[in-house]
Order: sequence, then structure tokens, then C-alpha cells
Amino acid sequence: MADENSVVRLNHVSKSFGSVRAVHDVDFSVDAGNVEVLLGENGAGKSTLIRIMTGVLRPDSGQIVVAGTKYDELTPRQAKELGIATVAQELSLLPDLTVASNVLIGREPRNRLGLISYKGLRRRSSDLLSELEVELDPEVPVRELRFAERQLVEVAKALASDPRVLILDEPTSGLRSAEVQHLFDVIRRLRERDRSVVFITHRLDEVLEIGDRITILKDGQKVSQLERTEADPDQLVQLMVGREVGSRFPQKPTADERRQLRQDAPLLEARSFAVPDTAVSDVDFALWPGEVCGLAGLQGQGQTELMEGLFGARPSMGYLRVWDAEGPFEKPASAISAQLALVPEDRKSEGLILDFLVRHNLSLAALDRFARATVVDRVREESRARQQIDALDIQPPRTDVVTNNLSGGNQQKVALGKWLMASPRVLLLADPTRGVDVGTKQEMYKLVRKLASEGLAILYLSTELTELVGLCDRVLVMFDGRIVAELEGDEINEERIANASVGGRESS
Amino acid sequence: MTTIAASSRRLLRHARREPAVPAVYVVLAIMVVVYAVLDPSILNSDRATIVLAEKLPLVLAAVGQTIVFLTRGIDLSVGGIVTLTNVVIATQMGQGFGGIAVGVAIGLLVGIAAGVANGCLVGLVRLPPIIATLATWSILEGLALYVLPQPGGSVPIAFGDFPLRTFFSVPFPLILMVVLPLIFWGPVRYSRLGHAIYAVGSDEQAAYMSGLSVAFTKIVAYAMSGFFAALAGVFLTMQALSGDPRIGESFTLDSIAATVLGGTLLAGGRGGVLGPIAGALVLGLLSDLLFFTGVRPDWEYVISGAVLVIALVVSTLGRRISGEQSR
Repeated sequence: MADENSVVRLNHVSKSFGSVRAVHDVDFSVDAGNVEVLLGENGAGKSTLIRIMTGVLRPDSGQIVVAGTKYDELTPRQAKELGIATVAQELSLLPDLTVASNVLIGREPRNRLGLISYKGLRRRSSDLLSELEVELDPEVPVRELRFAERQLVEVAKALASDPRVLILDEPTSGLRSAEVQHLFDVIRRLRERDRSVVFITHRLDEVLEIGDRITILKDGQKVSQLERTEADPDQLVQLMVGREVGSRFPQKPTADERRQLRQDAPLLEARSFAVPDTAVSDVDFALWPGEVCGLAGLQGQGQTELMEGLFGARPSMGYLRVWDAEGPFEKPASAISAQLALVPEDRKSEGLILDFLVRHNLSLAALDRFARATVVDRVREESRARQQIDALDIQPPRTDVVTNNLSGGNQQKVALGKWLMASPRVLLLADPTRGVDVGTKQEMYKLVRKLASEGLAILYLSTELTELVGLCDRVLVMFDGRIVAELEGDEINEERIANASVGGRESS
Repeated sequence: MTTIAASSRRLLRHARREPAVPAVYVVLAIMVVVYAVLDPSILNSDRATIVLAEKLPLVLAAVGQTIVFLTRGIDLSVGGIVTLTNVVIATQMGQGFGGIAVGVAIGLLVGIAAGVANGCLVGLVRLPPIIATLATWSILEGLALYVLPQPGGSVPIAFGDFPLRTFFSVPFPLILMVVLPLIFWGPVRYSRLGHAIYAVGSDEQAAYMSGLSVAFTKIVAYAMSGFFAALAGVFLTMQALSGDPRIGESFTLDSIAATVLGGTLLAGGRGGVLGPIAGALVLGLLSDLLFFTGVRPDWEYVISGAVLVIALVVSTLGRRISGEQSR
């Protein structure tokens, strides 16, 4: 193996979360002066690999070799000291600190007394920001910035350490094309100085523009590695997906069937809907029975806040009607009695009480249905829970296990089942397939389609384009708190969603 | 000129972002005026010196509490540290300058040691601060009773007179209220450690991901709190001139109330020590004012509790109204 040229190498690393194999026996080398691209679908293991390299996760097996020294695991601090800097998808900025302090955290310039030199802090941070050609006041707290601005601050922060390896995990997802070009200029400059870059993106045009070598991951394994010169887009897609797109999604209703469904009155109608204190405003849409409507957009464009607003978990304004109940709802309890249900994004903190038995979690949202004079009827609770476990095929099929012992996918089903117990007419699903394995994903898609065919209206939040394209009858795209596009039927494809997601930036 | 304009612009912007700090100073100013109307003798600088010397310990304890708050922690052992410092000094302090110096040094070391212990429990063992510091509080109170079961002990009169002086008719305690935090917290605040303290309180995970040592930062914060609580104990002993194993009782709650009044949030990451200085003075003057109006001193506990609740409600509502999103 040509090891001499590699700055960082991962040797046969594996990492599992519970029963889910996130990364399995992957070799990955970052060569000096190279732009290494990691390509793969969501859940293919890219971020896990990166997090092993940056010391956030400890590999179950395998080694990390940095500059010839072998490590079984790294800490974030060690990785930083070894010259590995990263711009993660979940930003690591400190909201209460200023831009300048964030950019230079841990490496603040000091004066003769050893105290922080605020003049130096301002100067150094504006230098770094201007290298990215970003106009930002270094003294504003980060919490006052827009998402895209934060992303650029994060890049400046990573550059501050003059890293040997700069890892960029989907850095362009929220950027405008001019900003992307500035970022690419910076990457080229780094390459000229023999620095390495690991670049993760979904956009194939970017891969071919900036990458030197492309590594493709699928289901946690490395399936291929090629030089840019020998790569073409079609081949990349083939390798990434590794199967016919669409086959893993259930059959959608035809255009005729959709028109048929539209004959009915919509189950949910929102007009001039707004969620104060968030970007969400001027939202107009309707959901019809029997349809799966996607809610697309980049992370943090207000999708979650919109759902929480509809559900009464946040104060909201405007017109809202769910079946025969008028909103906006003041509290989730009112939304629930209007037969609206929300399966939240973070099932761990919001959806489920993990220490409870499966049975108790399932009955939590519909307790009054089992209660006689406030005492819970155990027999009815048990039998309804059993029905739900059968309908959703929850494994193991038992009502008396502690929820925490279930796999992520099955926990997700319990979270869904809990809301189905309340017999909702409208179901808001926030990223239900995040962090679950491919098999469970397929089951989830089938389930969602089945629920729709039973007459529910489903709003399906996702940031995964293939999923939105494969599953949804209609897709609403949000940008900066508003719905900027509505795609239906054949109009739904990854490119159109992606373009609308950045506020209509032209395709490049 | 331009730098003055620039720094005053920065100051103004800062005040807009953290309106609680100017607000508590406005409240303080109003209270001083009311105080002066009810008791004009306060304007005499010798009398002011005595009143301010009384308030000095709480100011110092509140500064320490604030530093812990900034890391999104809480230090319930402050009262215990104040008490233990007091009884240790009252029993151990010798005569003359040397004896006094040794007594003060021992007292401060006790506070720092207790603070480091808190910091280790919270930072290294990762116990929830509310439990960890409640436990150390109990241990410290027990130790204080062991050292001095009954009120007693004594310190040299000269020690007690130390803060009771004026410089160009500025009361010395007032100077100490500003200078002591400046000397002992200033260098930390404006070093990388200070940034780390704010960073940890702002988002611990992000701070860790940025390569900061969260555990060490917390140890420093709790040690600082222990040190300031011990300083409070030192100045309290100067007033009392003796030891009392119950002397520090009110300091835990009062330091928390002063911190919240001073605009530092329980959520961490935001605030500073300028606020709690005024917060502690407001609290101290309030009990004096109520005393003037005939409220019995036993009501002090009720008052500090009520002030804490009101300050929390106001700061929560203020943030909600200003439309800030909770994290």
C-alpha cells in the first residue's frame, strides 16, 4: 500500500449502533494535497466515518493512522491537535459567543499579559472571514446569524487552525452558488499548499468539479474508489444506489387516483399560517385524505417549526382547520382531540419515554380511551397495544418489554403506533426514517403508504431527496420559513427539489 | 476619538443585548435614592462605609455563584463554604499581621479546596451540580460544626477594622466590590479559560467538539466560586469578629438570587459579574429598607425567596416577550 503519501488513514474500521451496522470494515486514506470526496446515500456511513476520524466516535474495531502513528481511537481534542479540522453537519458553534470568539475558540490571540487580545481577535477573525469573502460583523453573537452564515463561520473556524486535513460534511447544502464558488477557491488554495480536504456532498456536479478521488460508500461499506478522471455521473449514481431507484418504494397512486382523492374536502387546511419567533410565515397548503405529502427543504428552514406550530406545540397564527376543528391550536391536547398527530423528529426526547414498557408508551397519547373514571383499564390497554404491535410488526412482538431495549427502527414504530392509537385523521411525520437501517426504512415506507390508503392525510418531513421522490404524491419545499415550491406527480425529482431548496438557485 | 466612539458603540450594543444589567443598576439607583430619603445619614461616607461593608460578603459570594452559572451549573455549597471559612478563621487566626495573614490564607484555601471538590464531582464524575453541591454543602456544614460547635472564637480587632476606611471619601468596601472581582476574575474572564467557561455554558457538546476541556473548565469555575465564597467568609468574619456555625446560612439562596437579578441566566453562557454586584446590593439594601418600614428581620428569608422568584419570572417573561427562542 502506498502509505507514504497518506496524511490520515482509516484501517478496517467498523462501527455499529445497537444492531445497526453503520460502518463495516472500511479502509479510507486521505493523501496529501488531495481533495477526497466521500459519496453515498444518507445512512451509507459517511458521517460515521468522519466522526471516527475526528474523534467524536470510537470505532468498534480498526485503527486510525495519522502521520504514521496508529491510534485505536481519538478524542476531538487530539484530532484537532493532529491537524484534523472539521465542519460537521451539526454545527459546533457556540450560540452565545461572538463570531470572532467562535472562529478562534481555543486559539484566541493573546497579548503580552497572556490575556486575550480583543483587537487581535477581531483582526484575525475578519481576515479569515474575508478569505471566504464573507461580510460579517465579528462582534455579533452567532445566535443572531442565518443558517448559511453560520455554516461559513464554521468553515472559517476550521480554517483558523490551518489544518492538515479539512473535513467538510455537506458544507454547500445551505450556500448560494457564489458562496459555493468562494469555498471552492479556498479548497483549491489549500490544495496548492499541500493540504488535504475531505469533501462530502450529494451534488454530483460539485464532486466532478472539485474532487480528486472519489470513494463511494453504500450501507456502511466501501463499494468503489475512483479517480475523478475515470468517473462519470451515471456511473456514480449507479454505484451509490446500487439498485434500481424506486423498487424499494411502494407503488404510488396514479394521476387518476390522485384526482379522485382530490374530490373530497381536504382534511387539513392552513392559510397565512405563521409561527411567531421562527421564520415560518405565510404558509398556505392543504392535505387531502389518502395522500402522502412531502415536506422538503434543507435542514433548519422551518419545517420542524411548522409542524410544531400546526400541532400546537408552538404558538401560531393564521387560519388552520383540521377536519371539523378550527385552529390554530393552543396546545397539543387540542390538536390531538382534533385528530391531528405529530410523530416528532427526536423520538428519544420527544416521542417516547424509553424507560416505559412498550404497552405504556403505546397507550400514552390515548389514555382516555382506556380509562374508566380515570383508572386505566389494563385489559383494554393490553389488547389494543397487541393489535398495534401486530399491525406495525414491532419486534419483539411483546407488550411488556422496556422500550429502550428495542432497536431504533422498532422504537420508531412504537412512536408511530402511539399516535395511531389515538386514531388520527392527519398525521405529521418528522423524519421518521432518520437513523434507521435500510430494511426498516422500506417497512416504514410501506406502512406510511398503507396508512394513506386507509384515508389518512400524511405530511412527511424529510431531508432525503430519494425518499421524497420515491414515496410522496406531492412535495412542498420550504426555504427560509416559507413554502417556495409545490411539486406534484411527475414534477417530483431530486433536481427540482434541490433547486427549490436553496430558494430557487439555478441549477449548475 | 474613533476608538472611543467604537467602544461606546460596542458598549451600547452590548447593553441592548443584555438589558438586565442596566436594568438592575437602574433599580439600584432608585433604591439608593429611596434609602437616602428615609435615612439621609447614608450620604455620610463613614456611615456608607459601614453599610457597604455589610453588603460586601454577599457581593463576593454572588460573583462566585455567577461564574458557576455561566457554565450552566449551580453552587449550593456557597453557604457552607462561607460558614466553614468563618469558623476556621475564628479558631485559627493568630495575632499580629503574620497571624492574620496566615488565618486568611487558611480560610481561602478551605474555600478553594471545597470548590475544586465540587468541580471534580461535576466535571469529572459528571454528577448533576444541584446534587453534588447540595452534598458538599451538607459536608461543609458538618465540618463547621465539628470545628466550632457553639458560636465563639475571636479575631484581632485590627482585622475587623480593615475594610472600614475611606479613600478620598470613597468607602473602601465599594472599592473592594469592584476591585476584588476585577483582580481575581478579570484575568480568567479575559483569557482562553474565560471563553471556555462561556462556551461550556452555551453548548457543552459544541464546546467539547471544538476541542475544549469541559471537565477542566468546570473545575476552574467551581474553584473560583469556592474562592469567592471564602473571600465572602473572610469579610463576614471581619464584621462578626467571631465564629458562628450558622453564619453562612442565607448565602446560598441570596447569592443565587443576586445572580439571577444580575441578569445571568440559569441556562448558562450569558451574563457576567457586573450584574450580580448590583444584584447583591439591591438584595442587601432591600432588607434594610424593609427594616426601616418596620418589617421584622426574620422576614429576610421570605424576601430573598420572593425576590428570586420575581427575578426569574421577569427574566423568563422578558426573553419570551423579546421573542427569543428557547434552545
